[in-house]
Amino acid sequence: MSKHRALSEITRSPEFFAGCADVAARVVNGADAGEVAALLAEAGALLGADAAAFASFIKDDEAYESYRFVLACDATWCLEYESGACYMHDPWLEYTRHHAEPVLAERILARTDQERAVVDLARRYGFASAVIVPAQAPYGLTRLAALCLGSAMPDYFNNDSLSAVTFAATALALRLHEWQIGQLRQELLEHTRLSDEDIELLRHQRLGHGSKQIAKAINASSMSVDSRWQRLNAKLGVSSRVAAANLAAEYGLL
Amino acid sequence: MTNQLAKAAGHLTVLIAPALLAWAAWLDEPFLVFGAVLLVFPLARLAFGAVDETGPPAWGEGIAATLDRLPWVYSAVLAGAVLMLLSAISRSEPTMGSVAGWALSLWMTMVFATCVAHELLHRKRKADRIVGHLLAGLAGYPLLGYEHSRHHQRSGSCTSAECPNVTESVWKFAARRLGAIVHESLGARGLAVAGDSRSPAVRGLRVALTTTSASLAIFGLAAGWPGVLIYTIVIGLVSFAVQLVTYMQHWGLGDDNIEDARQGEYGWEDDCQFQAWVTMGLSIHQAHHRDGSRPYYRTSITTDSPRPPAGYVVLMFAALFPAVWRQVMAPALAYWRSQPTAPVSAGRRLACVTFYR
Repeated sequence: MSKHRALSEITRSPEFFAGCADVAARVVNGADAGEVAALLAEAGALLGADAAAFASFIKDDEAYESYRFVLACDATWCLEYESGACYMHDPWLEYTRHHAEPVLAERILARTDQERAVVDLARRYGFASAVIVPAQAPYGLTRLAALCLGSAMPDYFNNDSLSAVTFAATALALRLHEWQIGQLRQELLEHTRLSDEDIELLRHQRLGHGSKQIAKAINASSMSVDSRWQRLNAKLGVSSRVAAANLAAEYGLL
Repeated sequence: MTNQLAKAAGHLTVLIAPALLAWAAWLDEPFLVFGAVLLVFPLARLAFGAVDETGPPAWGEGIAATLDRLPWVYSAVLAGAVLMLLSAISRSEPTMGSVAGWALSLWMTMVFATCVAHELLHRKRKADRIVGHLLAGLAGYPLLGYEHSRHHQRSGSCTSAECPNVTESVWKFAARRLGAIVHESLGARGLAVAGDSRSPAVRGLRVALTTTSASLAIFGLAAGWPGVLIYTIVIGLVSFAVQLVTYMQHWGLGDDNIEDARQGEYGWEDDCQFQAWVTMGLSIHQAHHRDGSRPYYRTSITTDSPRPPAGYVVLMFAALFPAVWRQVMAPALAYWRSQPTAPVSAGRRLACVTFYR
């Protein structure tokens, strides 16, 4: 187990960065969630962690509907965290909303009773010492992510080797983030069955083209463009073509 | 287009309750809204029948945009109606009867207001959500935003009080659920007091709490002690009514009774068209749980959802008496468990209780 080795020993190993980079490179778009969870576990072990959790969510999401996780940690914790919707009160994720710098979890204040309970639960299941690595969204999207590495040993990450760990972990977090966005994009495509023509329509809207301009570009009548928008808006469950294009952009479709 | 306009017009019925309140204030008829909701609303099923199972049309863009703004229009109408009510109370000599009447009528109006607030709280746009919190605060239930997010994220959980236990009465469930939510949001180390003000959930909760406090103060300033008394009663009754509706929507469908309750996100779906209009789709509850961000005017009823044997008003009274509730609902639950894909509709009849027997 990695916890038997000092973090300095792990990070000074000549294979440390190459090993982490190799795992990050294997997180390819289209890989299934199980494969990525296995890669996360492998990366966690290379980074000296006993447990690793990756979370991705939209910054301003008040309904908590955008939250997605890849977990490589104690199954009991995963179950309790998910069934108790602990992400609603997770101060480590809250930190990610407003900060881009990696941080030791012990430096994040748990303000409410629920936040304390979430931290206590994490500490009991492999996160006695933890480091949070935020990842900002690629392509200017508003989706954020955080990679959390945990050790059952208290203060394990609290030493001079932390910067090497966070450096390697940041690259992994960004890669996981990109993979997650790809997954969501695929989910949206499968769920809504968007056609290439639909995506073309959305692209036109993103460029600010009106019905007449679109009609000319695709060689159709304005009325037919409007009726295609009607169907597309219904398919996406949005109120307008502007909302449809924003949604598509948020999922990285455009 | 005409067909779509006719269908879209049904959604305007959501304005009936605040419009009636304004009219009641004009006429100085304290019990008008309460009486109309209890006696007339259930009869609307005779006229409008059941929700179209094929779902709403692919609305024209103009109609969709108008329906999307309807909750904002509603909020303005409600604010106007409340101002008229305050004016009416301050002008007349208060009696116990008039205070009770206004409290009951305002309660009924505000219960519907929570449905509109609920619609706004699910939206992605920040401005919509802020209006949702303001509306929830004005309706006397400022905890709605937090409570409802919790409800969706722990859907089906009986231990978290998101679903009642199958043997639990509405009274016990309401106390258990309100206790947990009040503690988590208003406790000394709860979300509203100790939470990070940059969090959207904390910000929303504080906006709603400020609105409720300001509304109480305005009722006091404008209408004296009768105003304070009326609004305080409304806060209590709306808080209870939200738990009552949750009970009606999820009884028997929690993880104490249904194996896949957490994943299945089951909810009783009443197919009464009028009820779906005036609750902004909240009564099409299972569909809402499975796609919470879908706007009310694009929500279709689930084809294999459990269907209650009567509408909300009738069931509300049944729920108050646990023995009656079980007698009415247990056969409907048994039917759904045995034949989930063959739901029964009351059509234009007021109830289909007898079918399940």
